[in-house]
Amino acid sequence: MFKYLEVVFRHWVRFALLCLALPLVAGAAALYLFQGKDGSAQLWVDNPSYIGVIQTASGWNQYLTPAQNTVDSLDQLILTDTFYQRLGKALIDSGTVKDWSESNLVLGDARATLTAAASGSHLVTIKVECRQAAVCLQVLTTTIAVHRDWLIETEKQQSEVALKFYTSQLQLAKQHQQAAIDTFNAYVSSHPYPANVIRPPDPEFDRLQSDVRQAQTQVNDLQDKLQGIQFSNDAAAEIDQTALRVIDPPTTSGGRFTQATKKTAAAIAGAAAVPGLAYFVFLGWIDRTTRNPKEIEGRVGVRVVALIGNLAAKSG
Amino acid sequence: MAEAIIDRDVEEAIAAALKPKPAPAGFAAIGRERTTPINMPPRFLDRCRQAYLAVPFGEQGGRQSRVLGITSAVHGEGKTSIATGIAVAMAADTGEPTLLVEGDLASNVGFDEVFGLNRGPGLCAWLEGSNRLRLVQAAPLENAFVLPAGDPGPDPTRLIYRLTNSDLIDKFKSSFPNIVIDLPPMLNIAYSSLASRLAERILVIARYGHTLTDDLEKVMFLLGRERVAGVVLNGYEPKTPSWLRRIL
Repeated sequence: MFKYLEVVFRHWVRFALLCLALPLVAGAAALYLFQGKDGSAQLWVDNPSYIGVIQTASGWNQYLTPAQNTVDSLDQLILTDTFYQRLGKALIDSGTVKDWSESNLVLGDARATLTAAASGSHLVTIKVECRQAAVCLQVLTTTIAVHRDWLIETEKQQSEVALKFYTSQLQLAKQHQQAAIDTFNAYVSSHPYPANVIRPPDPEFDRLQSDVRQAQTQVNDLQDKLQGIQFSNDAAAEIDQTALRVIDPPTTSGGRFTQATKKTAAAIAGAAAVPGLAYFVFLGWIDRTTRNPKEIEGRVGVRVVALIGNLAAKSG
Repeated sequence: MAEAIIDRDVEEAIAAALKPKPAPAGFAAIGRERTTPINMPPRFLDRCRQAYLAVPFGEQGGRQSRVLGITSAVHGEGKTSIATGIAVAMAADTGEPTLLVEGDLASNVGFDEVFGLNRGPGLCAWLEGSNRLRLVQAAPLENAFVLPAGDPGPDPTRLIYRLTNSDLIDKFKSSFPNIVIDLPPMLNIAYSSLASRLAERILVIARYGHTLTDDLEKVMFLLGRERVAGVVLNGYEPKTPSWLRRIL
């Protein structure tokens, strides 16, 4: 170890040039050449209750702001492989990347840098760092689209389940209503009364009449709900379009040292330092001269009794 | 008979160095030969002091005998400078006569050049029997001396062989409690192993960022770890901050 350190300090100028200056220059050049792009887009999220129809994806937390809810769902979405598969496919389909290997590179960057953050109660900012502006734009556009599709898909699935449920409920309610009407009609037939004469108080008659009204109300309620759900199902896309608006379309800003840029620069700087380090290791390895008193004592088995600086003449 | 002459020559050389005769009255004093003044940074000397003090010297005749060899793997690692620094530090610290012997006959930079001496005969000439032993005072210290090798000629191995077979170092020991021998480097000089026998304890110099660890291991193998008192890491100038080194 001593002799390698000694080599470094003995040739410190060379060391500084080869192992410090050269990697620094290479790293700086890499930072300049491989500057990344910062992409961002902003979404405006409306509270679903605002438009009068409860139209939310599962997991909507009423105690959070719309922006926070959206960030929460986005954060979870961008953790899924399905999302990145869709993103990769979208990148290839749009011609932003040539093949899957390039797509995988972009997806790797996206996995590391794609973020969503709430900037207020309704504003959501999505950011990503990419090597090219087109990639940034595509990633953001696809992220927004996939998120919207996912919302619509989820809402439609929920609507369909609700539709099935309420349809069966409505059938039952109609059957119940029909039964109540039949019972009422049977009672009226069995207890006829002139139409122009006021019927004296009849508790049974009143009860049957009330049953019919209640059944009718229930049927009406279920029909209202069913219509609402049907509407939501039919207009899910339009509702989401309104509830989740792209207020600032994806844009990029260049000349930034993104994570990918920094990693690339670090790798290039490291690679540039390798030849210099190898050179110094080689210099140390070939140096077989006496330098370290401890090494001398270990090798020759005799004590070093004095160390004399560069004061003596070189004669003798 | 020859040995007696040699012994007497050595004794005379030592006596001339350590106890110079005073000039007779009315005559100008003939000074001892001196090196140019050795001027070493205090911090360097302090490190050399740290190095020699870490060497466990043996005792001889009730007093400590310090015959220390300084070697390295190859030339150019600061061996001669550190040997000189250690000799100067020893002489200054102990106040005892200290001798620095040039045992590296193949050095690119000989003692003549290092200490600003006139080119002249030295240890080699004495070993050949062609000249007297030449001890030079290491100025400005009064008790430090150097023994230059001089011209080794075409066959230095033979001279080193003669030196190791002679009892010159033992003779010096009686007058010089501190003897530092600048030995030849171990890996590229044929007679280095032979020369290393001259010293009791050896310090191996390694140059920071220059000496190969494998070479240092070979040096240890050639010398034997038991004779090596330690390694001195010369030119130690790590660029790694000290706080970081402490953590490591």
